[in-house]
Amino acid sequence: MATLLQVDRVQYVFDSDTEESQSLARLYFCIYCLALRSSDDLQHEDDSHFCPQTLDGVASQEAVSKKNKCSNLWRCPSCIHPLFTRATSTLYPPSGESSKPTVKMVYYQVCTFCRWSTRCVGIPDKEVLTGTWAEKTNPTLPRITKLFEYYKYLEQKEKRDNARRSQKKKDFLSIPLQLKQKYTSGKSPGKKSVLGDPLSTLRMKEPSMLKEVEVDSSPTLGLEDLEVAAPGEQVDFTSFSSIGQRLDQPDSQVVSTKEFVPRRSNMFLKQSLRCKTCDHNIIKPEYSPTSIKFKIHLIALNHIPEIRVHKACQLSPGVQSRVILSLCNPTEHVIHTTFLPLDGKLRQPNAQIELPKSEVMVGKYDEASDLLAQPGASPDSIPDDPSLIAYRRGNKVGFFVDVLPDSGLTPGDEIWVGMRFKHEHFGAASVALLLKGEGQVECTWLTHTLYVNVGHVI
Amino acid sequence: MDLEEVYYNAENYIETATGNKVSRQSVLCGSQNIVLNGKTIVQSDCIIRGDLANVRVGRHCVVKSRTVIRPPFKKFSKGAAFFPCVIGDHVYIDEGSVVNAAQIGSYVHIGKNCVIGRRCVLKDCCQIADNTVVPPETVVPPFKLFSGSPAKCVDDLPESTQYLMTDATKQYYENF
Repeated sequence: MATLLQVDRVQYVFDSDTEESQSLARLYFCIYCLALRSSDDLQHEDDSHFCPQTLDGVASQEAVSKKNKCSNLWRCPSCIHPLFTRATSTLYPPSGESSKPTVKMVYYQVCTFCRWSTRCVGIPDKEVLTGTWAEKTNPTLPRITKLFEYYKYLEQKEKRDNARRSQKKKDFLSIPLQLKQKYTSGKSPGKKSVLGDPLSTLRMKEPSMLKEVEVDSSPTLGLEDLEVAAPGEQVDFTSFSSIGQRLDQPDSQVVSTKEFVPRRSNMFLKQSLRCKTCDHNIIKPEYSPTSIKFKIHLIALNHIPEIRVHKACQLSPGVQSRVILSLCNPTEHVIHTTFLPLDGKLRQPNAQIELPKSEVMVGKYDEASDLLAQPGASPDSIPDDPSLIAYRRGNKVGFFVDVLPDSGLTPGDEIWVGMRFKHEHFGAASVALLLKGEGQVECTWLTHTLYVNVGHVI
Repeated sequence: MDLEEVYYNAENYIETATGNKVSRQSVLCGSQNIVLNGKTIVQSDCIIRGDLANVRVGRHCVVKSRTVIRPPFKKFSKGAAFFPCVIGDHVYIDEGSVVNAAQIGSYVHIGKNCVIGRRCVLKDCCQIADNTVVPPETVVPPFKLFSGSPAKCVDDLPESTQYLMTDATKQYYENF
């Protein structure tokens, strides 16, 4: 995965102005704008919410109404791990007419990691499996509600004040009310008038109508209010909650572990991504929470040739060394690449690189080659220059570059080189369509800037 | 970076017709209950407990040294029962991990010295970081990175995880 292949060693620049870069595995490629996009450049849209434990999908509206919390999944207040319901039979004393004790199934919640259970804090067992556990209400809820009311009041008041200040400017707009009715909005109610809405100020509540909300200031604790342990008194740290546990439940922030109560777990989210420039979908996952398939999947790794360091090298400062870089073609077309020197000024690499002067051809990706025991060179390849090409295997090619680290580097420093490379891009038309003559070859040349960590100084 | 070549002594490994390479220094208990679907590498000092229940491992998996794969059990009122352990394709289990999971999907990366608790379910395209303890009965959703003790979700994985894992496990097999 990302850590196995150390994909962060090769950084592709996705923003030419700021020269921000990221590994190709984390980038997207908009086939409409023909540009690399990072996750931050794209518009995130919530597709579906799901419970992380049961993986049940929940509609977005329902998730909002539930405040993004699962209805059936609770988490341990001690270690934040999900709680599991355990069933046990309990003997109830004889009651009423029957003289025999009755056996009933009761349920309690337990953490499988830290063994905390609802029985530890004296929460009574439930006789029904689901739906009976209730979250403890926030003790400061009345104050929070009051504060909300207060901020709504402030917002209304501020709007009113702003409207009054700009009243003079709008005075002339209040006169042509008939003109407005005549020329606008009669047939198109959704369209806003150029003249603005002169009634909007009238719709606002008068200051006298606004309900004034008074909020008590929160009490301030002084040092004298804090409980101080008597000298020589032994403090039992296990009975107090940790900082992490308190921050995990900011509404109650319980101090004593005896006050711990189960908390509802938060839901996870599936998102689709959209290009901000052209408004096309870049990533559209399937609805099912367990699915790893995508309806639209425009990741850069499927469209842009990937450059990797073939082997980790140890280089000496001021000594030119030969390094093998590999180039992998993910497309169904044979592509030609040309390497160019860096022209960026914001970021200066700490080594110089001598790039191949001639064009490098990379074979196409062939799914059938996976079935072969040993994929060989592509049949349409031409004889390679052994001083340039280190190896060629299917859609991968290894080529030599000479790296000269700066003489001022100290042992252990990472060596970064920069380059640009230009390659053909054949649009979305598949080879099958091209062979039929239905598709059209739309070849464009794309140029990328990248920085490569070729190794470190010995 | 491309994965480096790993050299091994051919005498110490058994290579099956489907391309599995199993170290002679590993312990496969109840081998009739263990199915390796092909091109899977089991390295030295691994223990796979097929005597407890069936263990099925998909294609192109890598089980590195000192790993223990043990089918999970569940206690019932009349004793305990073992459940089969199913592992998908392109799964990489790093050194020194103990796997008690009921199900591991495809394209999963388990780091070094992890403990995957009883009856855990690891869905496709997820990752467990090094030195993580996944408590029993935990479900790890797709495209999530779990870390810590107890394991919790710390990050999202890129949408290219499937391609990266396929590439990594294939490269590992080719360079082994």
